[in-house]
Amino acid sequence: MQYFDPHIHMLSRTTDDYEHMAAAGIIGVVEPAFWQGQPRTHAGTFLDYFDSLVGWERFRASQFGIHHYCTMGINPKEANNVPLAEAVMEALPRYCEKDGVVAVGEIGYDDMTAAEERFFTAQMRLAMDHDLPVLIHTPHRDKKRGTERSIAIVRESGIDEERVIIDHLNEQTLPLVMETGCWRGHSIYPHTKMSEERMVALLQRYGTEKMVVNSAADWGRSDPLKVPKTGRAMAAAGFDEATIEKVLFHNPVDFYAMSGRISREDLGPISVDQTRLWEDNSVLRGQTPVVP
Amino acid sequence: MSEDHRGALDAYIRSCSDGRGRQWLEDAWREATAPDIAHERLATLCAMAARRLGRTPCPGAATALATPHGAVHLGPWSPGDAGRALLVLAAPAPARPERCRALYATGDEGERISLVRALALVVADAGLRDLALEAGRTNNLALFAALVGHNPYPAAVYDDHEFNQLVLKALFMGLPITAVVGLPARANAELSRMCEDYVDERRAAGREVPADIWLALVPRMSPRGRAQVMAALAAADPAQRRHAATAMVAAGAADPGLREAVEDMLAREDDETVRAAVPRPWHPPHP
Repeated sequence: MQYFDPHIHMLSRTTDDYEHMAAAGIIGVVEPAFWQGQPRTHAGTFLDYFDSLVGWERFRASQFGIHHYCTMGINPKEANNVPLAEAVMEALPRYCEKDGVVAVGEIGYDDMTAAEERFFTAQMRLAMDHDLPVLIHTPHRDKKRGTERSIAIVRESGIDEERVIIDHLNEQTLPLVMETGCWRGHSIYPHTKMSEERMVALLQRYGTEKMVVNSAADWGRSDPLKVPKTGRAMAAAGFDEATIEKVLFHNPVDFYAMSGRISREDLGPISVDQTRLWEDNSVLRGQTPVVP
Repeated sequence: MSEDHRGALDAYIRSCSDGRGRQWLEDAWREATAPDIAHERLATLCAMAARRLGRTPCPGAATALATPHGAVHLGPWSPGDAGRALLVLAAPAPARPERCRALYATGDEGERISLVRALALVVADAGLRDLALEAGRTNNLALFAALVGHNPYPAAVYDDHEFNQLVLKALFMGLPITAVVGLPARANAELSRMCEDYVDERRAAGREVPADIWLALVPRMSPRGRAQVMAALAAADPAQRRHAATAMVAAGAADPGLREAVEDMLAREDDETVRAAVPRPWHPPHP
């Protein structure tokens, strides 16, 4: 079985994680731009972070046979530093044109402040200008209200709802998104957010259409193998292989494929990506791949 | 010089881009030649170029461009690489180094590879040596390969220390130094000494030595290096034997003992590919 983790912060993870992910069948990831655990104080720090997402981290993933894509945006938490957010907004257009960028995100609400709403709205516009889909983060606190207001922002923006995924959903907020054309994201966490078993129950109740599962693994307690583990939980609950593949591979890839910069075909079987790096450049000395 | 390069790059892109790509190039060129184009806009065009023009080399369209630094072969270039070079060449010559640096600073891996490949086309002098050195500090294999492989710029503008570090890093990263432009001409005693130390270090750790290290080590080697390469003639890996023998043949004019050792080795060599690959210029051609 092959898997795709559509939301994982690899910059915070180790090479052990990459090895375990590759061994578990994960062949591609999307790394959304987010905050890094403490607020940044310079726009330049953001830009270096963005450069890592389109550069070094992408290369690092390729060394383990994993395709790496990312989303670009200023996250709701740091949107509250208005001068900083304004400076970052100025640079975002060119990042939206980088090759590995498949959406604008994570954007949305944290504390539901006026500043958050301003940059949320501005970035919906940015996504439409660059013909990119949107990844929306829903808040930890006052989640139901935050999800309702996020849906309202989507509708006001005029974007096609099919081009939006609303993430970190749970039993309370999924039904709200089921009423829209938006895709449905679920983050499986060891202790918070959502578990594999609860996810299976949601799939049994609401079906598999536009349903997406991710690990959202980052610098906190989290597990980069939650997507394959959800696959095992689905199998144990009686889902067949085709359905598991649909939810844990085809759905997320098809969502991000609306960017035109990723497709199921791009994710064809690879051993280790050094071969791809070198096929246009006859200087590879048949290095031994790092993983399988 | 640059007029010619612009035409050749344009022709290369046109040879394998579709109508939409060609239209994009015309529009981008018009924008990039405007004296007041903002950097953010230029950087956006640079990011888009590979997606709009194509990211795989055009087969059969390859050509070589003559520069003051040596020939630049377009073989490994994609139309996107050529498009990015044109974005720099769209500026008047005195403004090109600064434009190249600015695009490099905001570029991703692919953009940086394109710009590094274009260095010898962008400036006629050592004005971008600083940028080449910065690019050489990367640990990204693909970017480093664009600098070290099939690229005449480093050998043309680096001093010995910089050149030696480049060659040694290529060996460290497992890149074939056969692709380093100017290696025979730039060989020096310090490079041989560094390679000899590296061979000792690898052997002390019980590890393999890069098979082509002999090409950099042998030209100005010390007696220690001579013993190392003699031993490599009997290595189990045919690539070791082939590169060691090839390097010894080249150095043999000054040291006939090397050629004798190669003759002895070839007489015992049972790998046809090794025998065929080692040149023996002192042998008369077979009738």
